[in-house]
Amino acid sequence: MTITSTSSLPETTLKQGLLMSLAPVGRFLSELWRDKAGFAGFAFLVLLVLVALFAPLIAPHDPAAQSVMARLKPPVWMEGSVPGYLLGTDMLGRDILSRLLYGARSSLLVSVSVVALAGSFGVMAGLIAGYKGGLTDAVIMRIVDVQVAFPGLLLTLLLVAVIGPSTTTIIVVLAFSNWMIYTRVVRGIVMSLRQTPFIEAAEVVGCKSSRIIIKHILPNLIAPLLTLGILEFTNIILAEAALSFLGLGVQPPATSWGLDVAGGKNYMMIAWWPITFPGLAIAMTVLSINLFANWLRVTTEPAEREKRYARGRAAKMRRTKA
Amino acid sequence: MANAQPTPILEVRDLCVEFDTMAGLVQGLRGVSFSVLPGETMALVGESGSGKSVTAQAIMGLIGLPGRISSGDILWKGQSLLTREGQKAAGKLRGKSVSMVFQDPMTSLNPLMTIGAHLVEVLRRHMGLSKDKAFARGVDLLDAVGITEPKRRMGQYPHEFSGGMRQRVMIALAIACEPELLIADEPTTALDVTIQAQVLDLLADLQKSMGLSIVLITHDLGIVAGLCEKVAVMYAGSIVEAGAAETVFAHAEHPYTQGLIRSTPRLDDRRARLVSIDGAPPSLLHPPKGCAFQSRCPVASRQCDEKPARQATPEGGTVTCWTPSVAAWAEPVDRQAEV
Amino acid sequence: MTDQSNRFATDHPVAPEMPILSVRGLGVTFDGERERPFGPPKKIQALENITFDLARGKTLGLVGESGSGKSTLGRAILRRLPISDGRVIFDGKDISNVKGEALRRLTRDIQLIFQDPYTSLNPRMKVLELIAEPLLVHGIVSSIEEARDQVGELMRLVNLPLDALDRFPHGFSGGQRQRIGIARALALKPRLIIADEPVSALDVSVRAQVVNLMQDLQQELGLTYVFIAHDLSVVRHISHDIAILHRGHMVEMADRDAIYEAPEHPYTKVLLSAVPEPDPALRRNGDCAPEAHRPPELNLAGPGCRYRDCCDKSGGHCQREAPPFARHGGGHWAACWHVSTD
Repeated sequence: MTITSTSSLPETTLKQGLLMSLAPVGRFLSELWRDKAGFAGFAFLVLLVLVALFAPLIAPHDPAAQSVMARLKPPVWMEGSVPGYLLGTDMLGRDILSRLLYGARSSLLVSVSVVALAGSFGVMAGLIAGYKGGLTDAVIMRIVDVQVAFPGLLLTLLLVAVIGPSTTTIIVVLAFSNWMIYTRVVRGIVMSLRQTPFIEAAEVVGCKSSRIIIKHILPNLIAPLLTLGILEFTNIILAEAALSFLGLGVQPPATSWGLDVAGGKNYMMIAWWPITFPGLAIAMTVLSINLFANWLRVTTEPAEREKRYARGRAAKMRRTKA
Repeated sequence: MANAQPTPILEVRDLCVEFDTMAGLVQGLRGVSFSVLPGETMALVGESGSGKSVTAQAIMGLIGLPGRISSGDILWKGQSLLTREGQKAAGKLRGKSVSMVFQDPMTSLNPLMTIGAHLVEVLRRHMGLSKDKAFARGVDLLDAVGITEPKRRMGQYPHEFSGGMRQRVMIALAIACEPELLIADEPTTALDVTIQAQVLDLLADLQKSMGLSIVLITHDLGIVAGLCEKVAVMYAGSIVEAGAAETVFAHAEHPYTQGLIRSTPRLDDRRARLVSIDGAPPSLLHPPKGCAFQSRCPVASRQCDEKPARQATPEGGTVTCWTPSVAAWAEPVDRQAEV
Repeated sequence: MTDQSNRFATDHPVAPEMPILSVRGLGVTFDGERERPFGPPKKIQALENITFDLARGKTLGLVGESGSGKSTLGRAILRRLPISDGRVIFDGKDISNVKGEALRRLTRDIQLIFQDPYTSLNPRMKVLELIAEPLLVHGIVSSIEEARDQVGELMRLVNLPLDALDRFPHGFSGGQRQRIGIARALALKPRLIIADEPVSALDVSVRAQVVNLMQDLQQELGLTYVFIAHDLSVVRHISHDIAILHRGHMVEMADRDAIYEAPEHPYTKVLLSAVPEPDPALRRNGDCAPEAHRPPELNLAGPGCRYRDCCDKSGGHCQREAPPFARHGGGHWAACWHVSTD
């Protein structure tokens, strides 16, 4: 095993203190490494975040710079390509690679903000509904029901039409139509947690509701919420792409993968690259998130995690025997 | 167990089970050996974590990840169940000749199936009965386990039964295929005392009328006496003492057994204090090199740093201790060791 | 130390000094299913007309099987359940109707020990946090670290090693966890502790540890216990008086030796005969409880004794009228027509 044992306490405290700060990261990575698909997903996501952060430093061109002379040039490995334009150019002669890099920015910005916004609101509503119960619960859950029943896309279109399209709008609108799932999930968990003796034990010693929610209920929500949030991420990326594709999301001159797919659509028959690369970026991101979330779900469930570990050990043993 | 005896129906030889956990290798069973003769009832007694349930799971072939049988053997009428050919035979054996009753009957019954459907399915699959015959036999079985109006009850669902009734249904299911060995893992722990008494009586009756062998797994020595001829006491993954129930109760050799007997409350006991075995069992992640009971034993000496060997007792049982048959426990309250 | 029976001589329910807990005619009802949609829910009487007194420093054993209402009674005394009838008087104050902040303050005086030491400790809190939490939420300390000394003292009291403070509960055995639970209950220096089957989830071999510890603590700290149990096997050793509950009614109450040696109610006798005798040499042929085929629900409609369908003495009188919970000489109370009253 990688980390110190818990049994021998006094003499290892010094070393432990040092190790403690680094240990979780190493443990996380070494465990992730054993699941190759999950690791690949995680690696891609890390890359994506880095690219989004440092887009201005890596991008070879200005993503908005047009060049009438270099319209619809193919990627470098094809005939007729222009050097310097690695993935070719689109119908306005803009560098596709640079647009991809900047597009990652808006995709991530929108999804992170939406997940954070919808998540915190939804979790709060779920906590209150699940903990208070009774009328409060009934009111909150009916609001959730009504909003779930209302077609999400229609609502979004309506809101965008009223407020007018922009990146801020899209964040607000997507958050507004995606908070319900958190409420439902959180309420369900809180309801079952309320039945557990340790919550009663907290009430019996005189904890106030706020402490019970923050100290006793919330920590038990982190694992399921982490998985849910990451999976929701994919939904938001797709929704942002769809809205931008429809022209209701990110507005030019800003870039977005969805916007690029929309732009490339009309030239699909003569040039495959303007639509393929942003499409691929969306697909890869969603796939990576799913692979990583899959690993995370097992990891946050202690019994499943033990089983995965034992399976790995058993496989290793078979290999060494053979 | 040195004397020549008829072939045991079940024999467990030096069985070791390990669990591959992230914290390290946990030695769940550390060399368990015992045998059960036809028609015999044996109790496996121990605290939680002593390995008694793991033993049952190993016999039933239910050791799954992260556990595995690392050494030892399980023999059914002299045939190993762990060899490749044995494993095939074992699949047929389990569920038919060996069956099991669990602690919590609710989790082993399908809530969407009637009690009748459960019984009919088992009878058709293992006994090859026709639908009508299986139903008739199911009614007989419910009657046999003391359920009134068995015909009407056949059409009811598990949630319509009380805890005690469900455990009766589980027993009916377990004996449906006329098994030769029944393993009962804490069958009464979840039940009220009055119901517990009934279920134990039922098991004793079935044992007599069907000639069943029973392995009763429990942490409560109190329920052993009414049912079992033999007792094996488990501690930290191995059997520390085994023998006939009467002799083990009358002359417990191992300090742990003595402590168990003394700490079991008795109704006629007017003392205000119970004997208590202080401390907790050792972790099986890093089991002690010597005697596992050493840390809690009132008569432990330096000798106990080494592992004691199993030895026969004058009464025909076995004990694993350096100083067997020393009265280990002083009267309660005053617990200065008298050694 | 060996024979303490003279010290346990009490005259309950009417104690000479003011009892720390008095329960008078207590009733608790739950809402059952609605008989028709939107109709009023059916009332299920979980407890009816419970009356007893408990003197300071004593232990009342409360024994009953599942569905007897024993846990409900414990929760009703803690005021975690609404009371539909009667009163609960703690230390001379009627606490039947306390609410809100007053109810929260009541937790300083009345504490609960849980049945299951595995699920009643928050797995994400260290032992120090678990035991210091009551002190923190009542403002006795302002931070967990400030409580370290006090918690250490509590650990000593329940015989737990001090190095356990910074560990999480999952590394401990059932008995050790229950000690943590007890230390937590003791932190606020309560005067009354409700112990809801504190040893039922433990192995028989460690039950004695916990029971003995609770006795030591009672002597050392002058605690008063309500000790709830589902059978009669351990309560004798810790209780001064024992009350038997059956389907929400108290059917018998007496000092502990009277319950074991001269039980009056037929149900008490059944409970006694159901406790398994561990010694094969003394093994009695288990007389089975006659309650084998009782319906599972709590509600038993109609007048008459609630035990009538399970009782072999049941006669016409038992069908017509429920027997009162009456005193039968000394401190022995029972609800049965077949016991002579004085």
